[in-house]
Amino acid sequence: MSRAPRFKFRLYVAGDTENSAQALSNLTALCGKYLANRHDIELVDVFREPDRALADRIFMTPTLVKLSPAPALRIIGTLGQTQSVIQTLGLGTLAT
Amino acid sequence: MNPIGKTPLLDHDAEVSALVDMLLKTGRRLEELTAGEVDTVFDSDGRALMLRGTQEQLRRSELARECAILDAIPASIVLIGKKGEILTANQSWRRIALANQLQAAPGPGIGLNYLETCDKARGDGSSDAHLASSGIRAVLNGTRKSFSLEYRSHSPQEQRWFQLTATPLADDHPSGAVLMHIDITATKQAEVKLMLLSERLSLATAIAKVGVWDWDVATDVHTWDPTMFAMYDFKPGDHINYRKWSSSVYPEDLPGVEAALRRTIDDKGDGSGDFRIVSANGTLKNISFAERVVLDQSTNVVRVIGVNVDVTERRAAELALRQSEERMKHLAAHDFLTGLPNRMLLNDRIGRAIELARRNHKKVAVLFLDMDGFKHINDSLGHPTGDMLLQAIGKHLLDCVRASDTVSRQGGDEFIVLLPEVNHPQDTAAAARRMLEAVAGVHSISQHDLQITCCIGASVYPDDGHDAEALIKNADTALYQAKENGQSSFQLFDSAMNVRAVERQFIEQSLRRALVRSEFELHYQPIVSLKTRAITGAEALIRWNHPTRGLISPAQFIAIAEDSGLILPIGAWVIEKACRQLREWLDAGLPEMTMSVNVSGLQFQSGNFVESLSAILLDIGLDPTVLELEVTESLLMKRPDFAASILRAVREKGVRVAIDDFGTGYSSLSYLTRLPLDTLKIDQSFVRQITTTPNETSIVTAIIGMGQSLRLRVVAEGVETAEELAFLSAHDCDEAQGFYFSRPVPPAEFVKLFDLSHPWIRPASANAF
Repeated sequence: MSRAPRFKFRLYVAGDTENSAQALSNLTALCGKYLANRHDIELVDVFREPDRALADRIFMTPTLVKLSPAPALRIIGTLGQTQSVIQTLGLGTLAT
Repeated sequence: MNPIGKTPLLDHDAEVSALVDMLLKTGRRLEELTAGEVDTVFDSDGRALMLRGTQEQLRRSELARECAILDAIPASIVLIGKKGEILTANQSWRRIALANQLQAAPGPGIGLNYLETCDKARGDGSSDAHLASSGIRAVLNGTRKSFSLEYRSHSPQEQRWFQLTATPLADDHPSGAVLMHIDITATKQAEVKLMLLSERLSLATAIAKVGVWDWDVATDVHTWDPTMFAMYDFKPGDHINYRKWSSSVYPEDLPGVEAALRRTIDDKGDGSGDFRIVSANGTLKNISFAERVVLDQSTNVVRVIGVNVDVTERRAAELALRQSEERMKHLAAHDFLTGLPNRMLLNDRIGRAIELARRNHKKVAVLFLDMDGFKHINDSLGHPTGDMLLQAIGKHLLDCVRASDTVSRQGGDEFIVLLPEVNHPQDTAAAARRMLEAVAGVHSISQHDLQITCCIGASVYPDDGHDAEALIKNADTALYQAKENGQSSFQLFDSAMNVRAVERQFIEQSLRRALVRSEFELHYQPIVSLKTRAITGAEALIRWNHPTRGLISPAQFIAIAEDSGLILPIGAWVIEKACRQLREWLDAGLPEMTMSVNVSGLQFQSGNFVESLSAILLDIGLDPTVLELEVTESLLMKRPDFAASILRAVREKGVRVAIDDFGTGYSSLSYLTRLPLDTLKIDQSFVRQITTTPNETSIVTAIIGMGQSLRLRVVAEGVETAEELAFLSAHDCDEAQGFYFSRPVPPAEFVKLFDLSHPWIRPASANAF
């Protein structure tokens, strides 16, 4: 039995603005459904850590970064289009 | 780059960066291009630019949140402008403003000038309002960083407290202030209540002088109130711990009080008791304590709290009360003079002795003692000396009885001794003999060596009575008998005595009424001159005609009259009656003669005897020389000097004095010569010897000879035969009386004796009738 990979996300938000809050809410829901107990979410508030957004080359919020498993990838927006997000992140096959 | 549509925006750095730059440059609305999915974008310098919608949304939600928070706070909060105008208020404020009808457009209270409202306040609470406005102004103009004020807002229905705080909107350049009113009524009430309670408690403990202590068991920290410090005489700053406290406890009491404390802790309960302390300045104090444990949530004892009360004065008062009660009890049960048990205690002890004797089949003896002639000691040496003698007698009696015996004083010169365990009848007699000897010893009292005797009468349980009253009464009866037997006599009770005692009581009671009822009368016996055979005098003799008993002889009642003191009125009556009789006879023409009256010792000693005698003679108009008082030898013997002085006074008035029953006493010649006498009366027992033992008549002749040598008239009593008469005549006896001549007769018969036909009356001397 192959060991299931652990997902590491980083979500860049702008305080508790509406879209950012929506993105966090959607991400949490997806992880709860597909990645129970094998995901970590790091939240970065660009208002609090503006240097970090610049260093990480983040241009908009909300931005989700998948750090692992490779390949790393970024999704901008509220993560409201659930199916496409699932596909992009490669979670669909895991659900079966 | 794909136009941003319904698909997630993939991040292609270069594209996005270019897009952002272009958008920023063109100023096109980002929201439209990002379909509202994005909050912020960053410029090339990394500055986050918030989209307008987001800005608006953020501002709205922040405001809403802040309003919600403000509205959720129970405090009333307003924001005021620089001039004090109310800009905005939270819900609590609006509610209160509504209630207080502070409404002004656009909302409740909004627009109103808070400072002006405060400035305008008048009456109750206005000083608080003025204080508030000046404080708030200070905050608004930047002279104060903050301001806080507690104030009361009391309505007749309730008392409320508030706290007002004013905080500037900005620290450096205040453009307004936040005012917050917090209702602190509950806190304040609890505070006031606690303060009152604590004040009341400390006042109460101070008034009651109750010291309160609190001992933290783990740290051994003792918290004492000022009363405790004062009680132990510690200085207010002294550090108190268990060792310091326990070293103050009186060492003897420490184990007890420590045991009580240990019990309180072990039982997780409470305890109380007493102990003594030696306070810091060395004062011994009685402390009463009560204590109780304080438990934590796991029911471990964490503290012990308690109280101490200084009960030294209370204990002293209790002790004094107990002592005075005991003293009162002792006084009530003891004779004040000798300290011996009194009648009450004696009765009690006799009762108990009888109870015990009944069970053990033993006997109980009660001995009644009475001093002989004690009155003379009081009369001649004074009562203080008499009292000291009684005390000495009490001590001597105590010395000669066992510890289980009771010596009690009954008042006067009477003592009663209880012997609670008597095995043999002779034990009582032996005890009585010891007491007679103890009393008869020489008592040295205030420079006098006094000698006195006593008589003792005794009764025995169960033979002579079954209760204290009967035993004492019968011992008293026996005592009377002992008195009759002479000084230093002891007499055990026998039942025949009771008959005599009853008789005695009957006579005494009857005597009290006899004078009033005129039951007495006088009979007269003639006294005849042996030379002339003429009647030269009469002796008045009392007769008692008792309404039921008939005639009672003087022998039966004179002694009782003397004991009871009734002899005084009876004697006075006799003297007056006899004198009136003589006056009557003389007035009727009978020849000159003397009237002889017997006088008792008691009469003689009564203070005004001589004066009242003179008064009677004067009243009746009788020459004192015709009255002759007869006194007995024994009366003269008891107190010769005193008797002589009275006799002298009597004779100075002209009244004659005769010595009665001469020869029966123990008179010495020397004493006879000292007495102022007129007449010697030879006792009839010697006269009787003339006929019964003719060869023993020397006494009669001696008395006649003595009388003649002292120039006294000699009268022979009880002459019954011619032989006696002849003998007396032959020996030159002056006069005689007796049955040979006449019995004592009533007055009417006496007069008839002067009839010439009487064989012993010579015609020559009959000059009357």
